[in-house]
Amino acid sequence: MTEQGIGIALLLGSFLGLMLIRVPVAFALGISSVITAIYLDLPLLLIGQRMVNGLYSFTFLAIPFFILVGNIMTEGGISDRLVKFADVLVGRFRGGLAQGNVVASTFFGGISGSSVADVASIGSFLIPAMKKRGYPAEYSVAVTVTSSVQGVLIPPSQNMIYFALAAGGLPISKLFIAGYIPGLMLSGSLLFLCWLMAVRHNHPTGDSYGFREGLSVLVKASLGLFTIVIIIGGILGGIFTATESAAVAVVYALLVTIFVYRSMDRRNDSRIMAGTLRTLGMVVAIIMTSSAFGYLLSLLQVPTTLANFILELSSSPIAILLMINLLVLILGMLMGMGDLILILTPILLPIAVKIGIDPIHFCIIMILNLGIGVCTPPVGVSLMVGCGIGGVSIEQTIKSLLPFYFVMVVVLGLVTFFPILPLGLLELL
Amino acid sequence: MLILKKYVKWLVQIIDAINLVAQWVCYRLLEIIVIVMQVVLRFIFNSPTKWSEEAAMISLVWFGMLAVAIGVRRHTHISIMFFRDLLPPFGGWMLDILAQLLILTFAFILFTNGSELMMLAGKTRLPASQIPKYLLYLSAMTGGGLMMLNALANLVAGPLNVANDASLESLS
Repeated sequence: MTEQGIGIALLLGSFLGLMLIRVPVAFALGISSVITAIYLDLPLLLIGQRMVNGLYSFTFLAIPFFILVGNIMTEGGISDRLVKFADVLVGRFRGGLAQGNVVASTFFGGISGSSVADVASIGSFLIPAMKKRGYPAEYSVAVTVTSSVQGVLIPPSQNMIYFALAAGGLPISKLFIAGYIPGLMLSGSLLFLCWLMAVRHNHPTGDSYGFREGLSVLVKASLGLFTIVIIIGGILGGIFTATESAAVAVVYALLVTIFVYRSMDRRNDSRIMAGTLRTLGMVVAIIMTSSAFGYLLSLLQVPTTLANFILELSSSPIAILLMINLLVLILGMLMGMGDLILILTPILLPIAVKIGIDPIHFCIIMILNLGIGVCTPPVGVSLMVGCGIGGVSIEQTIKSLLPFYFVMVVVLGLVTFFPILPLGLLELL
Repeated sequence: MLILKKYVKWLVQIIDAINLVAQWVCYRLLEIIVIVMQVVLRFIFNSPTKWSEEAAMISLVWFGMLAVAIGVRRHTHISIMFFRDLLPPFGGWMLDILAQLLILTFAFILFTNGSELMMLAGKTRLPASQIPKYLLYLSAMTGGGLMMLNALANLVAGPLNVANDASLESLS
């Protein structure tokens, strides 16, 4: 074997090995990079420098702001207002509460951009409420968990920023715009599925509201929803970069929760800070070590080698896309979303570009794919949180989840093979 | 033996206190980042100010390094516990120890790398803000140092592993 071959085997082998024996993923990335650098006789200093410089980036600066906005809004009581607002919109229909769940997640995704946060906060209101109205617990969990996937597609989404970071500088505004149609398609299909299930299983209709009452709910929720307008409007209007708009949104969210919702106190405040510290600690560790890892990957020409290997197997873009989808779907069942985006993007993106796929299109495919992974066992984080709230086991929930998986995979197929879906809006604007 | 135990207990208490200080620093850094970014915005319409961007970015690197280190002591970094949990208790315990030892090694490398990079940076300054560049690498040294202490504290006083709650908060 050549030095390059051994280097690749060492890098990937030690990473996988360490990860499987319970070494935290971030440290497995770092240690395997160090081992490989020693073997290749590279100065270790290079690894250290890569790690620090991986963090020293203006794009990355957006992440703490997005996490903060999400935490402030969640602690500050945006979730219950969104749930109520969604109920006003679709509650009167058959299966109203289930549909309201989907709609609320669509809005919430626009604020937090995290599917786990979505399940934890929307779910803690809606799962008990649905159970009380007579929906089966498993079904309530299934709706909450799957509708949270829109959260990662509908901008703003931290995951898209991870992708932009790992891809080495894609315009975040374009990634954001590309997420809208696939995200709304997903919520549309889930709404339809909920209605279908409601008719078949005779689910109850929800509350209907009078005009005045509805209006007051709308006003309360729209103050929170205006965060989205600041972020998206600021970016699309070319007024702010993603980082700046998120920074403005933090201050806006603080003002609304302190002065309008009046839900901030010392306890909330320290929970927001502690939550942000914890999440960022995990993210930073992986961004840091994966930038050293990614550097070695490209030094060893792993993406090119892999691309050539795949192109030898088949030259049809459709077959390659199917393979990539399958790979990401399986990995998504085993690992978290953010980690996988940071690790896989440098490997898979060059292949996708080589067969003529737009990087932005690829980002959406990958994120939707990993979103599905978050609701599948064995390591489906959203699924675990949802089952925890609903008090049902994962095995029981799987059966209710099957139709939802089917819908999500169909949407994934459409998004994969019709690039116009994610890219259409971009061409219009 | 008893005296040794007492010293270990002191040591761990000191390390945990350092972590609380680091947490306090992190919170303040986060506030600084938010405030500094507002400054960027106030000037953005007339003259973009690169210095505040640099200040925010360097605060973020510091925040990040400390947060990663704190995460080691609090076991918030995501790991795959699936295979570990299949093992008998003793095997699982061995892996827990091994993981902390590897973290310790990595932290040591980060620490030494950080100090060497500081020497290399010497008197260079960041272009816009004139902040000395060694401060950037000092964060790696500090973070690496705290990480070492934390891995050490985990090894001598536990806990080696916190019930799998941490994995529930993975980054998605």
